[in-house]
Amino acid sequence: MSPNMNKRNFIKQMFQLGALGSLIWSGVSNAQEGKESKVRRTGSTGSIKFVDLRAVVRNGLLTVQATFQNDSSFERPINYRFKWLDDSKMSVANEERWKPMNLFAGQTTDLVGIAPTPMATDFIIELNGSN
Amino acid sequence: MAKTIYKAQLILITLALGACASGPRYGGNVSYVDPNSVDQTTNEFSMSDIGMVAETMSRKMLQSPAIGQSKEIVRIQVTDVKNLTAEYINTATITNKIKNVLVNSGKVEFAGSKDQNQAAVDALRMQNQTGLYDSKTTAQMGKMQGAKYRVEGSLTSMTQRGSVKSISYNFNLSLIDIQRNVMVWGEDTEIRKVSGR
Repeated sequence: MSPNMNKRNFIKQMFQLGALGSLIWSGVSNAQEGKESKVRRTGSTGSIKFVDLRAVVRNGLLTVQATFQNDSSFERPINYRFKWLDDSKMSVANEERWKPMNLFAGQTTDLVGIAPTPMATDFIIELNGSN
Repeated sequence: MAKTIYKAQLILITLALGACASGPRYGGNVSYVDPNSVDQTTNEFSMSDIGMVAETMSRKMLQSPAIGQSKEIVRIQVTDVKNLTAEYINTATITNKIKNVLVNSGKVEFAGSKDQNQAAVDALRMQNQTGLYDSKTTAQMGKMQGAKYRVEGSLTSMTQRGSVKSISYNFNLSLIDIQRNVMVWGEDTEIRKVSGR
């Protein structure tokens, strides 16, 4: 094999790797954007990172587990609540109470919400940074 | 001299009574707030706490196998939540909130409690025994339905005093099979509040 051929193969492989990398990156970024579309933020919540999201129907009720992490080096008080929606994106119950929570620096926590009725098929997590 | 002291005492008593008055305030800084917001006015058990525990616990109960896996609407009887704390807490509010969440789920219905039964019996008697009603429209006697489960709840608290005051509230809710008299589901939730002394 000639040195030119080797060089061409190397460049080709690098392009392929780059394309694969950008594909993975766009997938990760899309997943992050997809998750983030489920969160409505108010106040100062910039340091609260949305890590993971799981939703299952358990005993007929939609159950959501959202994992958040305090990315800052300070304790952060936040409030949260779930908004439950039906197929047509209408609220299916009265607004929930805001629930207070303190996250230590670097702490990861799971917010778990259970839908109030089997009619709830979708949700939004409302996050409020009280400071 | 005595007259001056008497006047001063009168003014002080008036001021003290005025300070204790708990009537409506006029012209003060009054504003409406979101009733769902977190209330941090005092370290006592607040409406926020009542709402939070009622919401969380009743939804967990809806997901219990006894209710969640039932193919039919489950009939339940609720007894008032017991307040075992040293504070005055209107537990009827907690009971009502739990009932509302459960019944609005469409998975549960409530059998009348002991207090409501008399009113139901009176209404049935009036329809059936007074001869005032068209018999085609009257509710029939002997058709009341008994509950399968009974809900019991209690609220306890523990206070610790150090450089700060810490109060932990524990709310416990259980579902009891009436026929077998066995507890089929139970759950508790805790709220801890810390305040400066």
